[in-house]
Amino acid sequence: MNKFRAAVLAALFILTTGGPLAAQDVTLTSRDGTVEVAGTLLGYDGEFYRVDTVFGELTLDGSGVTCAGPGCPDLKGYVAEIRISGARTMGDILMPALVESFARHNGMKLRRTVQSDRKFSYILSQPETGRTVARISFHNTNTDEGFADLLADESDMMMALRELRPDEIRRAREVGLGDLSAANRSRIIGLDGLVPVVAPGNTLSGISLKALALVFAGEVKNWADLGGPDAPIALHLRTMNAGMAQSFEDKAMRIFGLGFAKNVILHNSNAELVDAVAKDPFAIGISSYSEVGNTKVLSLTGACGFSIRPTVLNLKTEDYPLTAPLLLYTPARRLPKTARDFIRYLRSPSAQQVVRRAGFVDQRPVEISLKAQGARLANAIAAAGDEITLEDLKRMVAVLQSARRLSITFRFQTGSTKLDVQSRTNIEQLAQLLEAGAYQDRTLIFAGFTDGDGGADANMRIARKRANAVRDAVLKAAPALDASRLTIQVEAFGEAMPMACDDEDWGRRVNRRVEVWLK
Amino acid sequence: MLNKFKTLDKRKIFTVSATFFVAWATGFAMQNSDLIAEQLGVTQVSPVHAVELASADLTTKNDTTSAHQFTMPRPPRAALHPVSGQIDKAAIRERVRRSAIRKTPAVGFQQFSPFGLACSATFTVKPAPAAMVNVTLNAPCHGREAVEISHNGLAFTVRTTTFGAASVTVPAMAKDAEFEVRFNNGETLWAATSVPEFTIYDRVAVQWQGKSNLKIHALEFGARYADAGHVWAKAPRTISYGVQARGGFIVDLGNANLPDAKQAEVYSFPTGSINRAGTVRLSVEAEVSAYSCGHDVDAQVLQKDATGTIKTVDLTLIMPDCGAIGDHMVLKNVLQDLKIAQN
Repeated sequence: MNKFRAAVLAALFILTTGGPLAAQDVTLTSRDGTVEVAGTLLGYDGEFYRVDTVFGELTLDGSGVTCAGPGCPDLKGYVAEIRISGARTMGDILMPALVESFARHNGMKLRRTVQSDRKFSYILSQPETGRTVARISFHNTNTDEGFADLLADESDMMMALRELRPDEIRRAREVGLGDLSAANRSRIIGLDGLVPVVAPGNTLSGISLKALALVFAGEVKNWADLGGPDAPIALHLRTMNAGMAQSFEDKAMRIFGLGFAKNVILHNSNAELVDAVAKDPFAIGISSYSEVGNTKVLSLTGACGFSIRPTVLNLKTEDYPLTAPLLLYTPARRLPKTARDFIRYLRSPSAQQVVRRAGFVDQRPVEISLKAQGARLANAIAAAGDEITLEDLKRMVAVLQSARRLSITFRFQTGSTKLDVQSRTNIEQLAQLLEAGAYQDRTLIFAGFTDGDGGADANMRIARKRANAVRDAVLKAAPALDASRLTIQVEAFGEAMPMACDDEDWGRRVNRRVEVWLK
Repeated sequence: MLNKFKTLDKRKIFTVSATFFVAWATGFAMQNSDLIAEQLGVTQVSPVHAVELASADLTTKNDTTSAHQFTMPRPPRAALHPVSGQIDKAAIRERVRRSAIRKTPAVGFQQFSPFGLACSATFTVKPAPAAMVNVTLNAPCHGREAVEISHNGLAFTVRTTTFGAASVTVPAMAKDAEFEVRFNNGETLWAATSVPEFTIYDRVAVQWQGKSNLKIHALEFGARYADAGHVWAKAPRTISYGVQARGGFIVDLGNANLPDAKQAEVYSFPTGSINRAGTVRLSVEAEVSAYSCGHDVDAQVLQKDATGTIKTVDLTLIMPDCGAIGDHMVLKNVLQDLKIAQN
């Protein structure tokens, strides 16, 4: 049975909402002339026709039919229209650079047509014939407006600095965009971080997350309270419709039950924000790791003595708590081939290079030797006491001594046992690496850690349970893996090597993790 | 004897002597391909002189003498499209071997400029401080002519003097820097040199044709407009800033007074040698003028891509309508800001 007939028959089983029978403007005929379908053309994406017919809405493979009638699209002149909208943190530099690199990678000519920094498009064309293949348009605003564009069917891809919230998922489903919380509806393009910045002359070098939240809530108003001069603190943030500001609110303010102060100075872009902070010795702001301009970045400290800076490694491992994955959402409709090719290109090493050059953190996993983690060990020893004994530490060092930590780490959503968005992607990423034979003939160790809450024995059990769960999820996502050439071990170290202080929620969340080590 | 030559068909003589020259030159090139490659790799293109025939008999060859001045064959046009970055020395040798003959008149029919100078032209390139290149053209038979010089993606129009001279200092856009000059009659000259210092600099360029007059604005390390750290065409600094690793500088190329001239503006920053960390904000400005208002302005920007080689992106600016004459279209994202790490 040929594709055409199969499609028609399949469509007969589809219930439709019964659109109005408009004028029959296309007639699609199978190549052998035996089957003919007439209807109103709803769309053509370069490969498939969507036609409204007496049988309801049918989707037919263009390569199996010929089209006749006034509504038929110009096959030769088909230009894929791809509209990308949302966070300017992604749309200003990174996504355009990815489009340029994608075009070059595929031997296509490129022209950027610019109306402004916010509205521009790329025309991709065949170099030999000059035929336009695709038009990729950008509308750079912020995460919220990007979502509005998606809902209003004014964009095909949405750039977001935070995950969509449950009510947004629901609204998207209501207008027919599908379930945007499904794994294939979003992908991480790169990793960003929310970093606290001050003017270069400011003597402060680190701040605890709680103090940072209190500062932005307006409850700590003076630099003198932070060990600085007697001067009021000037607060700088992105506007509230920006994913950057919303992500900071979720990860830093809400966990302490705080809201933003009224006197925060709002900025439309990260560059504007850091340029303002750099000029004011009494200013503090929250910016993107990729855009710190001429400011100084503060480390995040903890009461128990930890200090962590946003670095490439700390963002890859999510050891730095304020990470912000760069997300690209697509609705549940068939995108033109050029768009699908572009999305596939985003995972390539060439695309990862573009991500790095744009100042973000790419997702390529790196191996970190134990030597490079001396600070962690020192802290582990310092934190040892009644709960964690010297025996525990010796056992841990014995296992990890000859191994290297992989940057791929698994962490959980606040107050839940579900993996967070970066970790869910990590499952797939690790699974794909394993299927591709990346760590063949090596030993893979899933090492479970917990926070310090509760008894050490209970935590050991929890740690092992979590490590097992991650191992099972990875193996399930890698059905083609030849497990005979890979040794997998599960270890539990419980509270043994805290990454952050246990006295606060966010620190405990950082500590609850499963690490991957390789021998 | 000479009379006999004069009555012969000039073209026939030219073809014959050209054929002889090709055969001889090819043999010479094959024997000395290393020598040629070395010459190409350093500086000069030898002056083009006509080959002098020792005897009147055109069919006999006397190629045992090496006293003949050898002229560099010109590489084929197709090979001369602006390259972005890498030179393949083997490809150069190959081009030389397969090169076409320049259309200079040969033996006995030396042409001269109106001032009595021989037409033979020279095109030389020499590295200069701050990863720049001094480009010198001497083409006596192309006096007062608008010629186009191109280099690894840049292209700009200059006018030769009455005596056919032109000299420009051009920022190198690649370590292996290639240059071409094209005359109105379609003839071209080609030269190349190596600029190792190029790796120290970050370079960005914007180029256009006609009166669009685009401008690069660089705000170095937090400078505001009109501060000392604001570098642009009206405050371009000098190359000594780059040489002393103090900051960036701007160079304008091309003669705006020539009709429909190609022009380029290049900003250079000594990223690899400056002892300072921070950000240089780059933007491109286009004035809404009577010329550009309501039109689409074509331009190009050149900047390093993720692989580190300078790439060209074609731009079309959709200028506001003529009610906005005097305003500027300011684009902050067609050029990526420079992030300078501590050296």
